[in-house]
Amino acid sequence: MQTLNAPVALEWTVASAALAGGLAVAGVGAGYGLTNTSGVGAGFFPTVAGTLMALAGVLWILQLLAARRTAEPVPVAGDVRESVPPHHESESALVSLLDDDNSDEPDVADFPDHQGWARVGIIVGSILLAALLLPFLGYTVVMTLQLGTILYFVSKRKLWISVAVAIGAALASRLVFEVWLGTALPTASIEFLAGLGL
Amino acid sequence: MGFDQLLGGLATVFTPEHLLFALLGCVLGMLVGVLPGFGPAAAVSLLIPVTFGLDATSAIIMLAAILYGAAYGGTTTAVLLRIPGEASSIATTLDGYQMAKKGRGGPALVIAALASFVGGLIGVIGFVVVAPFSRLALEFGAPELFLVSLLGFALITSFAGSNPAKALLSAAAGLAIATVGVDSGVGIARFTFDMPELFDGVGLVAVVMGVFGLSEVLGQAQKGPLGVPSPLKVARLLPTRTDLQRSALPSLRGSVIGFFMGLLPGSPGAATSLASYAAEKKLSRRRSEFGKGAVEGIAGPEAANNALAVSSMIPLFTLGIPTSATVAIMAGAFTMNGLIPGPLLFRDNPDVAWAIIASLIVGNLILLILNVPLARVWIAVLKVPFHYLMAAILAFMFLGTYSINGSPFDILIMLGAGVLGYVFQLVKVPLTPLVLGLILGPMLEENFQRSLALSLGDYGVFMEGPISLTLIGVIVVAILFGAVRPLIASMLKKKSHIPVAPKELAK
Amino acid sequence: MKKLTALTTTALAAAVALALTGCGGQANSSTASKAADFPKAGSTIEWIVPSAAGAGNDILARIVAPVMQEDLGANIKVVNKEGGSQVVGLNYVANAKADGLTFGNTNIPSILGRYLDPSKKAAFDRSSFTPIGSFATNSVVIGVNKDSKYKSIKELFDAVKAEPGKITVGTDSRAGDDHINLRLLENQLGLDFNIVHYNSGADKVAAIVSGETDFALGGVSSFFGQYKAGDIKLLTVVENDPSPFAPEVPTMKSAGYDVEPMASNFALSVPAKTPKEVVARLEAALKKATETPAVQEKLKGAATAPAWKSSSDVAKLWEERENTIKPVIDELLQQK
Repeated sequence: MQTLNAPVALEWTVASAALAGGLAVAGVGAGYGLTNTSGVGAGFFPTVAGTLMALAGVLWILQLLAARRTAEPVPVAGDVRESVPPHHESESALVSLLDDDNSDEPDVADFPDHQGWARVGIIVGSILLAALLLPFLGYTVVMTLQLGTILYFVSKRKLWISVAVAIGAALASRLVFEVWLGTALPTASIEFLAGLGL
Repeated sequence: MGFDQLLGGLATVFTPEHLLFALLGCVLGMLVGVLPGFGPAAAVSLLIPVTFGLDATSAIIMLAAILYGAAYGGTTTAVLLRIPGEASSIATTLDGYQMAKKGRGGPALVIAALASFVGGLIGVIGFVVVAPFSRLALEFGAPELFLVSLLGFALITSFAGSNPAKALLSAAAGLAIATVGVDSGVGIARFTFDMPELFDGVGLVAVVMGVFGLSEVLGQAQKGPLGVPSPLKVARLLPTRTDLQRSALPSLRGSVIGFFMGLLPGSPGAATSLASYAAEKKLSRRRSEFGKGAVEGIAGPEAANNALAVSSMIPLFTLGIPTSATVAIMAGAFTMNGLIPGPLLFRDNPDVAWAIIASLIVGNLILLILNVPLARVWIAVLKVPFHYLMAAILAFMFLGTYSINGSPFDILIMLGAGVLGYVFQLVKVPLTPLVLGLILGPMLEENFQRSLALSLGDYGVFMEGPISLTLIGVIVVAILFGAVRPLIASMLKKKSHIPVAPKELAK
Repeated sequence: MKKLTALTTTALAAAVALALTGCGGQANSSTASKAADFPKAGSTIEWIVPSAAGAGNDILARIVAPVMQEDLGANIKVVNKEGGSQVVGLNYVANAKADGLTFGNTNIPSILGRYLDPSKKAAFDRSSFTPIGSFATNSVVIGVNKDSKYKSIKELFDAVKAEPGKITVGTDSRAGDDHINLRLLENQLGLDFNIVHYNSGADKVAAIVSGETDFALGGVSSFFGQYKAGDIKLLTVVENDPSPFAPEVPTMKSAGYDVEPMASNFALSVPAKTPKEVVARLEAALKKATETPAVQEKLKGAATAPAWKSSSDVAKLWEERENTIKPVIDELLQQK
């Protein structure tokens, strides 16, 4: 069930988000003022960008609706393009000469399963936490924690290997940046850690 | 000015001392440029103190070499890891990374070095020919630059993929992100949520690293299982004869595109290399291979990039006006060494001036010679098992985005852009239009507002003069061609049900 | 001269060490230190430059830092913290630990525009900093295209009076120094310009050379190359005395306009609560660096006049300029 419908559900989500987001951008943008003494105001470009986003969302939703009507049964996972109105299913040489649209984005990204989502979530979460904690814990601690987490939970390395590699990489990168390149990396603002020189 | 002076300059550069500094600069620049967050501009300013003890000629030769080395370092990560070290190597990630994935990272890197050399060489030849007329570049004022960036948007159709609605979404999202920050006309803070970090807008490099680099890591991580190491095969180190033949014309065309774009104020490097990519895709008979590892998609943009790097020095040498942040740093290096950039340079220190111009060729040559054997070393990166490589890439990007501004905020931007890019990839929204919108958006808006401020609100300013009128003509043709051609194509398609073309099967 | 050789040798040695071993100096933590023995040998001091690597501020910092470092016996790292029209970097300095291990550029008058404008959300004001001194100044000049019909500042201003709001002038950024100075001129002389904002000093200068704008105002360093080459003519220096870089250009005063001097000062400051002894030590090191011939040479090369102003002089100047500019700023930011 999940493998069948998840990609289409995500398309719906993103398309609706584009519509809603576009309208929001346009709305807020218009509030910055559309005109000015010498031409357009600060809100003009945001409004245009937002409107275009919303328009793209609408077009996409129309495509999805059309696909739902025509394409029965529900398309197979990872092959959503099939459900989109056929654009260049078959092409003559002449058509291919005239038509540019024969380049898909290269990666046919397989749709993630539960574990895939978990791995992506761990990476995103660890970067987020690391960025937020950086001013408090300092670079060395944060980088060690982030690398350790990813190596242990995502890459499934043994605990001691993860810890060793994380500490080693954090110290080595700090050495390169601070000593060799002379750029400052953030140090801990917590007294205890700062006292240790981290 | 002429070629004999250039030869004189070459003679100056070909002394052991100057060659040594050029070599040193290339190596240092490459090492620093490989680190994400250190583009050519940052690398040069970081390494300026290294040149303090040198005489002016040696110092500038070395700094120019650092500039090239750093640019090539950015290319390396773009090819191997899909992390564009700077915005102008975005175009190289598109096909370079795909080649690396297929085990052709070596040829990709060598072709990039070769094309860069061609671009540099043509750039310098153009320098000698065009320099006396460089004042014409100033004819491109705010209205003309607005029209140029509008023309740039015609590029988006080339990166659209199969679904125009999705491409439109991507481009519009890029435009919307570009409007974040204090507006240039009235001074209103837009979408900044009272955070000073956002007043100057969202950092391009952080977004690009997220959208291309992080999204790729997430896409790989999702696939798993990562317990099994799967090092990439590295088939061949040097490009084949076919590779070379296929890259020849794109390098030349890329050089020409890059050269002329470099003369314009603002010298938008990223947009230029993307323009070269789009041109190659349009002209190629192997259009379907683009985005899947076509050498043309590396050769064109890399040549364009380097020709631009050379030609953007022309306004500095002849008028004393730096047209981009990178050139501005070179200008700073000139003044610190007691040289005044501008026409006086040729009057007061012609030897130095020509030596520096000649060193631009020599620097590229050194890079080429260095990187044929070095490609093997770079490629070794790909043999690292992915479960370690992934952690290393993440650490790399974390550190790199932090170092751009010394701010954790940029890491959050990178993360947000990465998640957005990942979701876009899942639902097959193309990523390049987003970056294009982000680059062209501010140019479009600022020049539009500036034009109207200059003309006191008269819209006629966009239609004054031959340059503007020509640009408008080209834009109209581009739009007609872009919109009408697919329409005819789809009409033809309905009529004819000829069997699938072979290249479509090849997917 | 001896100093120069010493500097050269050090720099060369550093370059060789960097190139050959890929490693130089030593890693050291920045721990809190007592004022008495400031700075601890080998400790790390951060010089926060609130602009991008390679910007004017940055290049000057990289000229001065090595010499201060030698005198202090501590590592000085030039750290670029760009963003928010300098507010991000200045916030960082203002909120740093007041131990003398963090200082930054608080250029006057640039910094005034950052905190006097409430929309910039700056977390600092004048009382957040203690100046340690100023090492250079940049005179403000007004320039026109070499073929401009305005041959003198009087002709230019008369034309502005004849056609208010029609004569265009370029700035390097919105609400930056140029913009504030132009608004001061408008207020003090009852003029009305059509102010157009560019993205950088270079773009502003290009617009003058191409004739897109009628005139431009800014630091003499940003016009220097074009002025020397004859592409730009300088009409006046907004100073009481002529600039050493353009001695024949008349001052505003000699042209009969009563305008306060506008020169910008490259001042450095530490957080306000820094102990007096620490400030004094940094001040002494900066003064010594400013007076080093090699530094002066390099500063002059960048068309920036080396000029020493002590901690107390900078504090006084800061207060004066704040009083002049404050009334202008609210109105400035609302209007254009």
